[in-house]
Amino acid sequence: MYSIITRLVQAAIVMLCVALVGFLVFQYVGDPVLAMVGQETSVADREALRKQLGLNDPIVVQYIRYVGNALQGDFGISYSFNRDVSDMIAERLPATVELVLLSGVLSLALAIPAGIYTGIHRRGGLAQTIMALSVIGVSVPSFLLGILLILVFSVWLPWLPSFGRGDIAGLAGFQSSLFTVDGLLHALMPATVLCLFQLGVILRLIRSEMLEVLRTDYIRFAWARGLPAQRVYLQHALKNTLVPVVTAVGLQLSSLFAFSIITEYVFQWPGMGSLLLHAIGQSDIPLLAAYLIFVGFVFTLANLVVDAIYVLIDPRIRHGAR
Amino acid sequence: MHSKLLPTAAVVLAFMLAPATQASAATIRIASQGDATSLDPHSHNESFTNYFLANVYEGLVGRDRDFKIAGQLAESWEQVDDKTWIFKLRPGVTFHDGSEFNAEDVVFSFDRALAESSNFKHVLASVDSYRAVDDLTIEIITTAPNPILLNDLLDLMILDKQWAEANGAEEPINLQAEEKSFSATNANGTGPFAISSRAQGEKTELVKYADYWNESGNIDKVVFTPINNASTLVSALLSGEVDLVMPLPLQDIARVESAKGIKVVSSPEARTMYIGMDQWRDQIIESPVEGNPFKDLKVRQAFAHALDAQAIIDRVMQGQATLSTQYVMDKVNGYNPALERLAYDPEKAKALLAEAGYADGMELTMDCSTDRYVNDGQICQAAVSLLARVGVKVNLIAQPKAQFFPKVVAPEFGTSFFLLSWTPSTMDSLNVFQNVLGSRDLDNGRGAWNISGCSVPEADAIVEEAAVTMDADKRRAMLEEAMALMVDDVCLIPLHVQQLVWGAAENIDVVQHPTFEFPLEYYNVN
Repeated sequence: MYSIITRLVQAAIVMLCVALVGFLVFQYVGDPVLAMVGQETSVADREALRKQLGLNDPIVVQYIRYVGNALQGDFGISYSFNRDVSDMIAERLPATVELVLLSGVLSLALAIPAGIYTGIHRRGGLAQTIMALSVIGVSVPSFLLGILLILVFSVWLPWLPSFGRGDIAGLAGFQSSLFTVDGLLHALMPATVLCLFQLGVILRLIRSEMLEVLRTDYIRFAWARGLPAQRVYLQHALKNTLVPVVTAVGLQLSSLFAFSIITEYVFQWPGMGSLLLHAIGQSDIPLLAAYLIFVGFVFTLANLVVDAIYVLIDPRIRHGAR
Repeated sequence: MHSKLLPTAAVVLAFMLAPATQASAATIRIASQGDATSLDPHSHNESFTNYFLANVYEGLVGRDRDFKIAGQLAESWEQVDDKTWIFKLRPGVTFHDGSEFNAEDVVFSFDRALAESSNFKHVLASVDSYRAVDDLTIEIITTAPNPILLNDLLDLMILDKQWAEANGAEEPINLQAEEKSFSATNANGTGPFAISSRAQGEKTELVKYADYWNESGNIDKVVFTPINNASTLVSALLSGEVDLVMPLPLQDIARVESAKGIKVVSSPEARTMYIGMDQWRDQIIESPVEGNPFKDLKVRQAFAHALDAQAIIDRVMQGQATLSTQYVMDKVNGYNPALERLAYDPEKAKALLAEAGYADGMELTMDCSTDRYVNDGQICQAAVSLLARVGVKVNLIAQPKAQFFPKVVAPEFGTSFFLLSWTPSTMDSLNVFQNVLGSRDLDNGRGAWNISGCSVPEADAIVEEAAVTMDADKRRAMLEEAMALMVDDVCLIPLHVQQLVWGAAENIDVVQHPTFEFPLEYYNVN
């Protein structure tokens, strides 16, 4: 209980810092007033608007005012859309979450078996091929891969839609495009592109941890005791690779939120990433700040969850000194 | 791994998807690089938003198919004297929600356009007062004779008073207030199309308004999707998922032309590109040169002779632009057909520079945006290498528009050499004189975009008189004369008029207007 409270306090500090860094950077994203007004607006009107928005105040004052409002749940009004920032984030969040979830599931579902397999048969032909392909996943930029997939599967072979999110349906109280065929078709290419980097990283981590563990004495004893291979690999070996893997997975999955910016841009996926790009282009400070705080929140939350999982999977932490 | 998954899944899915890529007869699917930022016609003065909304809202006057000014909500108008205009409103017009349109709505919309948070105050700058004479008559009195009042009114959209009041949308949104921005996400106009659904940045659907007062084409439904990434945009057209994309990136023209079933549609846009030179500072900035060489007409002429605009059109613009001789394109009122541009002649440029005392050349810094105009960054790079040939070394600062504009605009005007462009929204050159070419007089709203700081008082005087001259022919002659004076003075170096380049399915009839309007009521699907 005590540690959870400490963690929450830490999380709040992290988010405050993220917002502060954000506000320092906002000095250089351009002039939001120029992005808001038309070419015929007079210099005096521009200055009046700047004053009205409080953009002439020192950056520290702007920051404190922002945090004060945010604490009351008011994230301001988007300069470029004239709408509540909270409404806009709430509108865009489901699309990003479903893309991140789908690609997270995809990357875990593929990386765990492939990692175990390549760890066991490290000299096999298939394992070598998987390793070679994982290098592509880690090294090819996702926008390039995205454009390539669109070219092949939308233009040459008109099988998959090249952009956007599909039809939305409700299931068990949730609205998602993953519940419809059309929605899944739309999500397939973006989710694939988004998962590849994580897939490569997690696969390689599991493989190297497996190699490490398989060399240890207790595995040899397990073999000597004549245990079946399945039990040795999955129960004794895999379980002991999990602590570093869970750490990596937690961080990798939360960084999917950040990576999704490019994927969303390439596939015109209407999530928070494409909203962020628009906000940068328009110097839309309230929107930028809310996005940064949100991503900071996701990262701290993921770390919190990872810590909780440690306790579950590692008895040394569970029974260790407090 | 992933490479195994994709083809298998795709084969299975191919069967399910096939019908989705065919357009039904009267639906048009449009994709553009941006979305309308708001549905409120008075909050953002941004050309795409304005022209998107012009399909939903209407003004007293608008543009017809041939780009002439025609009555929309006003059926006819007459001038009682130089300053008094009477507009007779069209009877029997209804808003999309069924309520009747009348003079009350016009007065309300004018008031709203003048509100603090409106970005359309300038369209009524010449208006002294307006009132409803009766249910279908509006009287407008201007402070001084305004020959282009109709042009000014083109951008002023009319809302329903009752609808706005019922939904707390009496004003374009106030950013400080806590109110919900109803009019930013909902619309109720009198135009040919009504918005049936909207998810900002994702998809907007419009349906034909059955009770529209005028004829409209055969399109029943418009599905509008923003696609920010240029290559995804082109792919969506090539794969048949959309019927019309705007704009089409220049490098993809050949690809689209060679594809079956789609065509490239292009026409000149009312946007002229200029290169500007600081003529007001005594010492130019970001340059080791002492003093300001641009104060010398010979230097400005030398630069004009050195810049091979035709080469820029051929190489950078892929031929999708026309050479300009002056600061407006030929469809703009006040274009002077007699003017010629200073010919490309590097030898003459060198000679002129030598005469001005710069035989050894000079070093300058150029400011340029990279994401505002078609290929703006490349235009500047070409200009840099063209100037190098006459001994002028240019350090290029190519920057996103978010950095470029704050640096160069009033009141700092923080550049001494730059690329700029202008579209006169009124299609009248007075707009260019007032904003870009007129001597700076910020308090009176003149020359706010005169970044060069050039000043030809003789031209200012002519323009001031033309602004209040009601005789159209006389007025045009005056504007042409002023244009000639500005060109002779090389206030800016005109480069080219860029083209609107769109990609469309073969079966779509498209109408392009030079101001980027896309009046869907004139479009047809065959």
